[in-house]
Amino acid sequence: MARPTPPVAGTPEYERWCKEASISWEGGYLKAAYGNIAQTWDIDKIIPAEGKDVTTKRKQHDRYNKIGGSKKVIPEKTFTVKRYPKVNSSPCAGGDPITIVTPVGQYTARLGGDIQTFVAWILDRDDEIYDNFSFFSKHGADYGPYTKKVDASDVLP
Amino acid sequence: MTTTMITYTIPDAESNGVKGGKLYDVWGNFDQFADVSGLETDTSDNVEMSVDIGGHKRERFMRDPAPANISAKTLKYVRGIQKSKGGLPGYSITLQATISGKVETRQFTFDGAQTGLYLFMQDKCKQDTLMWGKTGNPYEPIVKKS
Repeated sequence: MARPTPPVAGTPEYERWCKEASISWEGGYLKAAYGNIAQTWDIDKIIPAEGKDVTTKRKQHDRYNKIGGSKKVIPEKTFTVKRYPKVNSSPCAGGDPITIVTPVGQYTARLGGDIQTFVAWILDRDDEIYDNFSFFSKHGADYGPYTKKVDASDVLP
Repeated sequence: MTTTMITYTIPDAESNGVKGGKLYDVWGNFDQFADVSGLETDTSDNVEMSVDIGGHKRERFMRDPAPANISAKTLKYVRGIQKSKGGLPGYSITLQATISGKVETRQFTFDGAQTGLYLFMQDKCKQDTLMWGKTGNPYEPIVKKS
């Protein structure tokens, strides 16, 4: 799997590469130009972050629809919804700036959440890295390099 | 009350070369303890500066085939008008003396050798003075030269 060639300037794909994109996981996210993310991981293979069941409970309570009218008892009920990791919209820059270094260049991304969670996320997807990369935290700590590992089940016999 | 912080340069001791340093007088009290005439003071630079930034290209992403052209410009700013928010280099020293019949204990921030300041005070103090160093260690009382 080869790193993709940047699209020709002026094409819709090029415009997309210039725009900011984010990858989310439970507890964090990474924001950078789409073109940078697409040259670090195999975008088509990055496994979407899984949702998490969130349960909310409504207490039993009384409701009087008409003033002075009869009481209606609203029973207790439990609701379960699926919540997916997301990056909230904000004009302010969130997260911490990190510098990602790859064999074809380096760029600054914004990392939301805990660095250790990010590293765990990287290691879970190490067969989706193009070749290798490392990154520096905002304090200058050097993490990596993280290299591509080929899953034996992916290799054709 | 607006007070301008005065930064004195305490000279190295003439007798043995013990290092002097900068003494930061936030409230303008040091001249009550010592004769500061002849001491150098730091004043605001208030100098207009300009830096030429050459034209360059900026890649929107790695290996951008059409990087943006950033034209050359001159960045202008003024130097020496921004003061410290609170933290000053050095450490606190404490001076105590009887000034106008009242015992005054005041702290100053100093970044040189403590003995350098002690020797300066020995030479220039306006009245008998007590001095404590950065760890609260007391010094021999400084007696005003007659």
